[in-house]
Amino acid sequence: MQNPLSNATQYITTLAIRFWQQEGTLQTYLDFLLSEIDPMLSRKRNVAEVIQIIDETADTKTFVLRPSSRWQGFVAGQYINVETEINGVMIRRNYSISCAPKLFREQQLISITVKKIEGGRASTHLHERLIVGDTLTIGLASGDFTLQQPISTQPPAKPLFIAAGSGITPIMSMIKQIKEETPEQSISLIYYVNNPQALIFESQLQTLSKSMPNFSFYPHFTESEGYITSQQLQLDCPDIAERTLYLCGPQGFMKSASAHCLDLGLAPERMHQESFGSYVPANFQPGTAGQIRFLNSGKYIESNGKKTVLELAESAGLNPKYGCRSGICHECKCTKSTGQVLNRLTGELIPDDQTHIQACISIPVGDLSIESL
Amino acid sequence: MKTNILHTLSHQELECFGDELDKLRQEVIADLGKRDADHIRNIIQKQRYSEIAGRALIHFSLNPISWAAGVGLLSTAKILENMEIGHNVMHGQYDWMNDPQLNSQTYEWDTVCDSESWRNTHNFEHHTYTNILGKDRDYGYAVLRLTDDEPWKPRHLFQFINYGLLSIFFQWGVGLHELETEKLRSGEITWKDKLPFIKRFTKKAAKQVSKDYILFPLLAGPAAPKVLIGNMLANLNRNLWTSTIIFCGHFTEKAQTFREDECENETRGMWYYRQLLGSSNFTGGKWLHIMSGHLSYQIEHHMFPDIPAHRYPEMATKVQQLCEKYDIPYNTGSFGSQFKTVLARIARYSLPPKKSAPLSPSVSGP
Ligand code: FES
Repeated sequence: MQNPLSNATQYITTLAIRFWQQEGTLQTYLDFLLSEIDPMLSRKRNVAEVIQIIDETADTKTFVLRPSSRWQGFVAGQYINVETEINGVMIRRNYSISCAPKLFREQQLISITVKKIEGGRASTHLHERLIVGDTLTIGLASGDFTLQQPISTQPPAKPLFIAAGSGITPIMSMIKQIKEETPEQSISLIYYVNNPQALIFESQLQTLSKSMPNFSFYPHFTESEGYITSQQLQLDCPDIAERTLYLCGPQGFMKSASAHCLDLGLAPERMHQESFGSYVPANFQPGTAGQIRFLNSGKYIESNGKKTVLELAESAGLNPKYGCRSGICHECKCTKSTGQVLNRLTGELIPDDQTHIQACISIPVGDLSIESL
Repeated sequence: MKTNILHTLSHQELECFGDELDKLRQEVIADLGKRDADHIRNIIQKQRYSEIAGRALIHFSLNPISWAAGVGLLSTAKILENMEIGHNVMHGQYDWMNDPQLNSQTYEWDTVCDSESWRNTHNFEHHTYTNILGKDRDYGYAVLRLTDDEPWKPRHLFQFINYGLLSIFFQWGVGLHELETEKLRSGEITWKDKLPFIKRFTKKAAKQVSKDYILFPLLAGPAAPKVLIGNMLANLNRNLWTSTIIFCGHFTEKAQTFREDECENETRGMWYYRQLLGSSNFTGGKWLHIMSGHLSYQIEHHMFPDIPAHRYPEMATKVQQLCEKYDIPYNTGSFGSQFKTVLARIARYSLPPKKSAPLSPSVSGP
């Protein structure tokens, strides 16, 4: 028979653990006190302090950050989620880490490189408001756009990096890692920017290509040379079909670059890419039709641009939660993943950053996907 | 109360009135920003400090005075959390901030009332059907008779006792509101229908009870009894305060009730108008408003439930101007005087209706 005393202690310990973990009690308050003393002490959020800000080009800056001691490190090519508060609104964006993993191992520092986007709230805020000494809330590193270990390929496929604009950031981190680990390895970088002034990391790239004997670097300027072509690719990298490709840049660029590479005989399984660049809102018209996808149920339905998300969900055979159906009670809140909606009460476009929307007053403008309802 | 006042404004006037209120709402929404974020964070900070200090004082007090101060601080923290923070966050007033901690659909407050159930009974039923008899179950909380439209029964003679009990156990009353005991009694619904709710409620209540009445006292070891009593008193204070504030919002003398048929096919203008007539404000200093979660601006709260409540004072000035313009009564007064009319109303409707005078005044010549 079990000892009743040990049973009781076990029970009390479970209770105590639950008590500790419960939102709004001990742990919340302890974390509150710690962050009141210094935000870096928070156990719940990952806070990073801005150590240095470097101007890369006229519209690109690198921010060197020191994450709190709880932050767990990264693999070259990964990104972090950066949270900023702009006029009371929390905005989250993913930015690739642009430094080598060594910098974090040795000095506990990381860097992100941010291009200021016309009308982009987060990037403008980081560029114009952030100063050395400020803190940011960041997420753990994630993403699987990382250097593949050459396990199966014999001899290992040489990496080919193709980047456009600020798509260079994760690739920069990868190249630096190669420089530290296998500086002799033969690698190529094809980098597209508008003009020489827009070349991010120019001097760093020049230095790298000098110190790495087998690093070939091909910058291209679309203003004078035009967009990426198969001929150009073939010229820069004649053995493209034997390479492992790492591709990063704006959506349109990646689409044509990957098509060219496949044409030139690159195997699809050796192509790794990271989508990048900001979402440009399409010119919308109220009454714009589109397709609505409900991701958690896999259902979808066509919208004529007149019905609300709630009505559409119901016509799609779903059973969403609702109350007043008139925008008062917020019972119908759902999470939008991509796309735009119009507020039926005000006729205004709901900003892209607002991910929680009221289904009963939101009318989709074009295609939309709803994460959970 | 007469319930047909809804139709004294012309349709045209009502719609203009509604449009002007919509415009006011838009203006404030466009202006939301750092000021509002700072306000709620500042209140959260104060609430946390006072809860930490309150619990510490209750635990470690060496004399009754510091213990009483601890109870006071813990009561204040609980009131702030329930009123200015919890209630308002759950209305979606801060959803625009995109802050997961302040999201209306996930916030869980410090009372035995489960927030999911609250969002359903309060945000939806009460705010959509405000003061519509038979639809707004917050009207008298199914235990009080506050209008002659509800038939008098002898048990109403003792409704003051009910009122006292409801206030003392207010969090339990609110928590169990969704149980709809009156429908269970009449057989309209069965216990089985209510099983999911009962499960949710038990879970939340157990969490609250174990926190305030088991674990915190246990942490104090031999001083457990004073912690237990201190926590109990803090909950009691919060109950009495919140019930008083809420009663002043809808059950004052001039707050009106409506019949379901009056509100059919209601337009936005009519909805605003009904919210206005069914609610009442009270005046006071800044902290009285904050401690009441700005429900002292019940009228504005009912018209704009999802706008950050600390905006109500500035909106109220404009609402009052509109009321003057359209000659609509705006029900306000000091806290004391409004509360007196609540008590008077409870007392009046404990008694059967007086034989009423003929409805139409007799026409007599000069
Ligand atoms: S159902 Fe009430 S706000 Fe949408």
